[in-house]
Amino acid sequence: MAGSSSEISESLNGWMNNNSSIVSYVLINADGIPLKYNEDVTYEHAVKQASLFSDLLTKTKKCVKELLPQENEFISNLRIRTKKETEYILCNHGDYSLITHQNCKDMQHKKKKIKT
Amino acid sequence: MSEAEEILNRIKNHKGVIGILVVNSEGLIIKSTFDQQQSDLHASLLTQLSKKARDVIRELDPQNDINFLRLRSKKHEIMIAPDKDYTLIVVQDPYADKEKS
Repeated sequence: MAGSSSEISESLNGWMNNNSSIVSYVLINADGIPLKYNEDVTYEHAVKQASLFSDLLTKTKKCVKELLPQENEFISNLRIRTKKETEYILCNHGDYSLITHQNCKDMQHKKKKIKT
Repeated sequence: MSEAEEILNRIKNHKGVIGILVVNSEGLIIKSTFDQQQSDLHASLLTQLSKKARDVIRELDPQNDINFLRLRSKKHEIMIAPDKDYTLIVVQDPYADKEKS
């Protein structure tokens, strides 16, 4: 368990370092308890995000179930774009959910650079 | 109004778009390409979802607000653009490009 736990941390941190636009992430279980979160984020903030977004994810599940009943397997994600040019990406898979907070301004800046 | 029609037609003709829905702030359907039952279902569920998402974002940062929502499932993608008076909902098949090419 300790080994797999540190492996998860390493994977998440590596993934976050590879994508510079990511501000923070929180990994939560089905009960809304934060299991892993970015070291820059305080525990209180992680708990707050976990509780708020787990409610939102439950509602998302309900919506998908009602709107698209033919899709039995529930693998989906919800992106919330905000006015401060940031974006929350909520991914749900089985009993775990990953909440990512990223800065879209950087992405747009990079896109412009690439086009030039 | 004709300008809105033009924009909606452009969205409708986009590849992979399954349906478009415009809802006002009271939840009434202004314009829809779905049938009545489907429209009512989409309108009520998705306006609830966008309202809850707005509440969540406000709770995290009171000065922030949502611009756009994108709900992606295995076979469909629902995009919601909530605004003060109206909410635009577009349902599309995210793999339309891949399938045709």
